[in-house]
Amino acid sequence: MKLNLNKPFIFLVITFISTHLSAETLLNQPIVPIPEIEIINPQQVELGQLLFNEVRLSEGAQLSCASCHSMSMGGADAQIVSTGVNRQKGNINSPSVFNSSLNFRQFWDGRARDLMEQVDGPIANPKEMNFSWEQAIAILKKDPFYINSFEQAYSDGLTILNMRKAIVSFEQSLLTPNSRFDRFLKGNKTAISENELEGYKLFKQYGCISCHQGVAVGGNLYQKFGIFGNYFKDRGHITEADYGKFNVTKKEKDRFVFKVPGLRNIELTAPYFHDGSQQSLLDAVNIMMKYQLGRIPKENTSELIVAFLKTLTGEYQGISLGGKNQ
Amino acid sequence: MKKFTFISLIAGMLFFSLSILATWLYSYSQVDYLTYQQQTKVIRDIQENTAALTRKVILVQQGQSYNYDKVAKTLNDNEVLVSILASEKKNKLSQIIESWNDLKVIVENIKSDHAVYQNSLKYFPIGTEHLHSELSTNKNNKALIKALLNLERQVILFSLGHRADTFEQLNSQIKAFNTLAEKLPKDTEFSVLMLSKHAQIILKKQQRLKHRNTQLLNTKIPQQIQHQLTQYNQNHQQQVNQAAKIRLILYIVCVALLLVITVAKLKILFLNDKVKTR
Repeated sequence: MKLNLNKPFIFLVITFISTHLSAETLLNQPIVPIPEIEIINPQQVELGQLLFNEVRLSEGAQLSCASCHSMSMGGADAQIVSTGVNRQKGNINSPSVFNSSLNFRQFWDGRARDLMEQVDGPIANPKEMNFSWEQAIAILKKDPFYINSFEQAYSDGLTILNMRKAIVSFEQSLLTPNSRFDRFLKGNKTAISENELEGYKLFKQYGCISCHQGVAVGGNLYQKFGIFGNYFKDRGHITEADYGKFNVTKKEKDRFVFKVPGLRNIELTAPYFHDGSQQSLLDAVNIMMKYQLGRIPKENTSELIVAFLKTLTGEYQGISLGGKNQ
Repeated sequence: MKKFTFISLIAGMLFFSLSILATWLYSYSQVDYLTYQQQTKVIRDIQENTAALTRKVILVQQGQSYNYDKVAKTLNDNEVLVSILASEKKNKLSQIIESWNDLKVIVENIKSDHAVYQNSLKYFPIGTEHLHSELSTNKNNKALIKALLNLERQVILFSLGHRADTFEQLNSQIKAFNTLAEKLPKDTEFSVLMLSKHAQIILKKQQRLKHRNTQLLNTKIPQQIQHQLTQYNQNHQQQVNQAAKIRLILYIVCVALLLVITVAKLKILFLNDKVKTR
């Protein structure tokens, strides 16, 4: 008996197999691609963006949220610790605002449940913006532009709640999909080089994946900093910020415990760790090997892992954040 | 005429009183279905999410789920629901909130412990192999190699649940192994100490995970929610029963009201006729 395999049938089989295989690639990996951004209310997002860049939300109109979370610096500020109003230095490294909505908790110590809770922190912090929502709204209520914009975006106009909501809407829009690694996960095998793929395998083999997994490549659990050695004793000069989650719970077991940061766009967010102690990604990986994984990396291992980490740089508003490397 | 006015007055008063009584009864005959539905929905959602959370935590540990995203999401969703309960500020709900806070800590601890445990568990045989080849270059390390291979076997057996030795025995075995390594060159000694640390983590975290999983599965939330649901249902049933009684009274009052109106009307007609015939 002769099978009559016509062209459409073969096409269907190939489509089925390729779809099935790419679906399997997605399902079986601990890292998941960032979904495409779905902006429900663009007016609110735009308003949030304006507020995010609004210096009048700080004491003496000295700085805005964007001063420490610059879009051109990977959503952070490239400083060890940020500088707040009156040139005061902060206590902790500024985390990236990109993909922050994917974090299970906010801040290094996880003290805020979500962005809505987080948004109150920097405004009120005396070392950051040293202001209040009441002061901010009093200023914005004198500005017809904001009054009109809020009336258009929200049925109840300019209120403190709506100011907070607008900033959160903007922050939620700051996803960076379509990184080369995401494209690889979606089935494009040529999106990353062999070295980068080797780096990914080592990232899994060396146990980095135990904590850095999921859509944000981290940001979904707490971990103690210094499992295989006393990082803080070795580094010296322990500050209150080093206590991490302990500062929130006051439980001894939470001392030196932090939210595991997401590794998306990591090549752009140096210096690394909550203390901003490492300027290079390679040094940061080696510190992790020593204190978190208890491994002595073989020659070239950390370099390959760094190569993989650089494939996690995504796109913002359709433009790659990583420039030529992408 | 005087009699006519008097009857009208009595009838009017009766009508007015009965109307007020009927209105009052009507307002009390209402059952707050909306609040009942909202309360039971929140509490049922918490029940479902708690079960889902437990399941998802287990799935990650069994390696059937590849990351903690779903665990974190379910936990956050439930946190929002519990905060709705917390806003009710009823003492009877405080037990559920308390149990939820405990469960949250357990889940977070499982996530953190499991990540570290998995890392050590995966690395331990590889590390042993590396150390074995490192030690094999020197013939004087025979005792150490023997101790290393024995430790590997015992730790793996322990991790698989086949408790060849107790936790304490294995711990002292690790300490003895570390003492043997003191004479080694610094680099090799460091490798030994690192591997020992991995072994200790496997032992410690496995015990802890076992304990925490038991706590997770023994959470009182399902029973407390069931109890709360029974209470909500009983309260609601009481409201329904009370409403049924009030409605019966309301029915009687309405009939009485109609009777008063009818009698009054008839009386007035009768008196009018009487006046006309005079």
